[in-house]
Amino acid sequence: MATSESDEQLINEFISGNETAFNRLIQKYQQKIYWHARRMTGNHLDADEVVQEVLIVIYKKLKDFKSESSLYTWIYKITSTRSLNLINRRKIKDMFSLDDSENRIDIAGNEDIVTDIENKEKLEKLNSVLQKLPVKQREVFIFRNFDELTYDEISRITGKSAGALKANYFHALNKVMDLMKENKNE
Amino acid sequence: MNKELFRYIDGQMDDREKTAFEEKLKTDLSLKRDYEKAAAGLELIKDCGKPNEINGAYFNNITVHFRENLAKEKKPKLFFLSKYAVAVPAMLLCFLFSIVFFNKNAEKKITINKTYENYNDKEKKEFLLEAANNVEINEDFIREVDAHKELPIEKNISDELNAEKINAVKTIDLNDVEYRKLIENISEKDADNIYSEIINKNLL
Repeated sequence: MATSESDEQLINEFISGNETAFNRLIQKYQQKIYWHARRMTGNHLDADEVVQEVLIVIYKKLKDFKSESSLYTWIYKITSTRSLNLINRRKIKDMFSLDDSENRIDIAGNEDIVTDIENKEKLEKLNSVLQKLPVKQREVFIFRNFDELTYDEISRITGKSAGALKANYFHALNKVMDLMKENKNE
Repeated sequence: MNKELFRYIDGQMDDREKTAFEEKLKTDLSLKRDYEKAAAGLELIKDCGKPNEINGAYFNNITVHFRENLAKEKKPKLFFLSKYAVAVPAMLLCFLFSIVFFNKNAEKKITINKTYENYNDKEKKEFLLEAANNVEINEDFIREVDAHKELPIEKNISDELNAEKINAVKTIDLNDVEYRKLIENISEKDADNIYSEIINKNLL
């Protein structure tokens, strides 16, 4: 990525006490963080929760960030972990009915950043497919198609081998095609 | 989707493989149909995931919300006094209750090991009621005891109690092993006392 040099500048500025440098840095990555979390979790409220968690982690750990690895891979790693954590938390809460998930989805719908009907419907269609994939397959599908990352990059983020990722993506792609066919027939 | 088509769509083929596959696509109509379906499906799903109109205010305010959250995080954590204000005392009460409850049980186990003559009135009554309810010392047995005064009463009672010990195990709430030990080790004097108390209190 061509942004690495200016990332470094912003990081240095932030480390030397310039708080606005952090805001500028975040502005560069906030859309990537949000949309990855949004596609993983399937709704705005959860995505927003992930975004805020990710920003806090970045803020606290940026001083320890080693510039030999790329910042966007590091940010994706945090986003991926936080998204998976939130999905697991939701699963546990749903299992013990600790969370009013229907109510939460309603609120998420009302507070969504996507407000026009056509785009809302498109996102719902995407969610109806993605949310049926196992989490790991969903993640690699999103990384490949929406974040447009290479297997090497995904491997650095997830810590999995490229071979395992390819196998996951193969299954994910086949499932997505089947689910789309089912949706079309309904 | 077969692996070869997957590798082509996913961009995993090198130039030589790619050219060979594209040649194959020209002649294999079934493969071409599969490819077109998969490519169109993938394009559609990508389009669904990239909304072109969003409320930009959200992204303008992300860092503002972040600063607010950060300020909250820096405040001393008082959530134990607010969020868990009910839960923590409730857990403490449960813990104290369980200690009291288990202590009571422990006390019961100790008292059952006492000999009958050391029982207080309440314990004697409890024991006799248990004996009367769970061990059927019937009228025939009393008559037999009366008719054969020479028979050691201890043996008779303990035989009778042992004969019914299956019932005793089933119905006695306290530790049944301890209960049996008590029956087996009953002294003649204790047995006499039990018998006379049973008769005197009309428990039978």
